[in-house]
Amino acid sequence: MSADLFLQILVNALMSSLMLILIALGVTLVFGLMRIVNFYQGELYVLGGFVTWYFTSTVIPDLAGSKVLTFGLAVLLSGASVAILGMLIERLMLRRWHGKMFVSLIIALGLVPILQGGMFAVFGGLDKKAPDPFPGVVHLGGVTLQQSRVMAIVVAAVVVVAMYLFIRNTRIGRAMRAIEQDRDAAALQGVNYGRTCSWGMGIGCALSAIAGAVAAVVFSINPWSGATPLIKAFTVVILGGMGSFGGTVAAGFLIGFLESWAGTLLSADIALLLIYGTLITILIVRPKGLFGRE
Amino acid sequence: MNRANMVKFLPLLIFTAAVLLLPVFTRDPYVFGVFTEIYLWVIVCLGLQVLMGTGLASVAQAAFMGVGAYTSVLLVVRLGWNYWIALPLAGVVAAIFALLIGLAVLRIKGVYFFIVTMGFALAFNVVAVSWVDLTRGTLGFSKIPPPSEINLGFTTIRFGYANLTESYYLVLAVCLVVILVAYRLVNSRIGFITRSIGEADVIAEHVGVNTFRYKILAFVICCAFAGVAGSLRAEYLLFVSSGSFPISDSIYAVMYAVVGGYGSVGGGILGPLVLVGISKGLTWVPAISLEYVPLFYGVILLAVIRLIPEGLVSVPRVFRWGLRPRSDSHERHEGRI
Repeated sequence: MSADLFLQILVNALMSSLMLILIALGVTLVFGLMRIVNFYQGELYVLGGFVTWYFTSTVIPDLAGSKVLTFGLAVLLSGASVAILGMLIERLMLRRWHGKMFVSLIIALGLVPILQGGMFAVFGGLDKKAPDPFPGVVHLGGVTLQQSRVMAIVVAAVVVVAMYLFIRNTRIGRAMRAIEQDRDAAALQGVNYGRTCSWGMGIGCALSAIAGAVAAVVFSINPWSGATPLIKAFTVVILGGMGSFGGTVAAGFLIGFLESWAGTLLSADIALLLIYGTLITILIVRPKGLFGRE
Repeated sequence: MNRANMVKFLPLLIFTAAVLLLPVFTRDPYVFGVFTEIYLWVIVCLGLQVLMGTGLASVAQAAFMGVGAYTSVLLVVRLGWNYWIALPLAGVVAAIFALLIGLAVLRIKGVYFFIVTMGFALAFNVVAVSWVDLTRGTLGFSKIPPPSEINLGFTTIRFGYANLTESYYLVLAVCLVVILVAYRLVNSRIGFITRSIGEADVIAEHVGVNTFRYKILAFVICCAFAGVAGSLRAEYLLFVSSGSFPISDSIYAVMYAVVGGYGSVGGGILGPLVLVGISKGLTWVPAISLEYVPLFYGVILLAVIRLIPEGLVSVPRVFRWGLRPRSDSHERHEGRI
């Protein structure tokens, strides 16, 4: 295998991993806080991509002459708007069912076609791809890489690190961890459960949206693209352990690399089957996941 | 059956009479198609109700329909077997798959099980498309030989393109049988035990119920029903391909079951009837294109959960079968999954 191919696969693997990690972190965060299985994260991912596409291709093609700036703004906008949507959904539909996994699962299941239908109504059913703010290639170590993919990796990595710092150091982050550990004790310590959960939901949704926003430049999307990333993200969450940040990151890389290598060397279908096989194996062998707490 | 039972079953009897007489009123293949589709979904949903009684949910039903469909089609087309043997075998093969998956995964929390079923559905679709030698991929099987004729002496029942009525009755007959089986099951000791798992599995375990075994049983039954439904659909349409079993169908099945009435037999009938009816009705509205149907399903589902949590079946109190849903029927399942 040539060094060129090897590095290409490596870059793809990194990108896949980070995308999955972002979505998976969203799932894990929401689950850890509210015991809600956020089944519509895939749709939020796609929605983030659509908002970015819409903004960069229709609203403002370039801000102050800079496509990069527009794109950055679009990403932020995607994250914010999807976060607000997620918080609204949580407040209206899911608030009653915190802690009740089955019902929230069914509700989330119902939300999937609603979101898909909504996206279809607003954006149409054809594939869309956001205009590339970083066209062209960059040469790294004598190898040619698409700039946009590198950008995706950088952005995603930054977000993941930011998330980590956020959870660790900010008040809200600590409040979230407190709720995850013991909801009532957290309340006794003065943590506002409702507000913290809203924030948690918002952040979780924003993560997926940003992943989608960045992915929209590299891949094309349509309203129904959300299912496959969702199942892969859930595999990551289960592999890493529900509610575990580090586990999710580690599992994300594992699955992302598996997908990339198998996808390129064998086929995308076989990659999916392998991922599914991994899922089943983990559930048989170690249901808690690598670092799971429950 | 006494007077009270008669009242309870009256709506179903009326309905059964109506559908039995349908071919008298119309010969339109479209109408047959709609009702057949409803019956197939009733079969699938009844299986789902059994499973959901345990507190589990599955989005692999379409995939298991696919397993059943491919089994019966392959047996008939490749091996030349009689359809009347292939049909039950379809259910059996689906049950075997369910058993394998269940054994692997049912010891842990239901949420994981749900995700595994989703993975199975996706994996099934991948295999169906890729393993062309077995399934003929996206081309699938068309012009499947219809079931062999039944010679009753005074008349012969033939199936096939020209004999849509017979196929309609076949599906209806199986559907009625399944309804009967489901009703007896839900009201039997097994049904009682599976529902106890759904309501309070920790307590059930303490009382000596092997929850694992009953969960597997429920899942196997659920998938066997789906397998049979899949085989019937293949027989009715005389066509099967890898695209026939998308995961969205499975999601609809869950919606039908929940909207109809979670865990109840009546719900398993009412759900598909109402929702499929609505979707067909919507197609007559020109402003709403096909892609919006799932949206309506989702909205109806959420509305039902919010307003009538026990499903449509609880609306007319007469329809209470096999399960006495209480207003906290959803609270029952907190954390059990």
